[in-house]
Amino acid sequence: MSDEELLTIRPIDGGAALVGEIDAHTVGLLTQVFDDPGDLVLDLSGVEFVDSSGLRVLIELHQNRSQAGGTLVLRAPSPAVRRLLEVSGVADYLTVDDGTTS
Amino acid sequence: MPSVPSPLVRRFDQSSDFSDVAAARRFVREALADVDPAISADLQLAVSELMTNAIEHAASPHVTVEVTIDVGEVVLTVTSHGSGPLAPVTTWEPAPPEASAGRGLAIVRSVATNVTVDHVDDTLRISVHRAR
Repeated sequence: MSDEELLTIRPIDGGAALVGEIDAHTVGLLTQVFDDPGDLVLDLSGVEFVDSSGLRVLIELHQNRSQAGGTLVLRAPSPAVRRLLEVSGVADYLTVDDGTTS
Repeated sequence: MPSVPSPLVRRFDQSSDFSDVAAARRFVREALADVDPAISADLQLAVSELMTNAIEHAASPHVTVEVTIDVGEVVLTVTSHGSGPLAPVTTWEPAPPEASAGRGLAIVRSVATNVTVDHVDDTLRISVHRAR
């Protein structure tokens, strides 16, 4: 199975939608795509799996943008994302938009 | 008394690009097909963290993943070889929110009912117990 099948990144207004599985193998795709420190929205409704490797990159993206005066918004996190934020204790550190109105 | 359940076992000869991490998750998902999906999801997360650690820290590419479904609990065991003295098991405490790394094992502990670690010679065996 190729990386592209495990994780796809689709452009949306203001950012990207991530669909698939984020782990140590696929996370390199994210760091390659989001090197611009401007405002970024990541739609996470299609994330079927994510572990601490993915969380590490989300935290780094958040920090890079905060330092540059921008924001990272995690939109409509899937159950897998919610569970990871819960068990890792960083839910309040990152900016989450439940996406119910979008 | 029920008989002792036999574990489902898979051995991975992993490559350094972490592609076996997803394969380990699939194995756990298939092994736990008849178990509460929330428990299965948490143990897929645990095996992902433990496989990633094994690839990063263990000297040998051989990692064994075992799943045992017992009456009262599910046990996930990941065995790796050639790890340095306690190197992969020093960071069980949750990392602060602003830390970007070092929270894999804290996540494993947080989804587990209990975790046991056996580190004998060069073999590191971590068992994640989860009540069901």
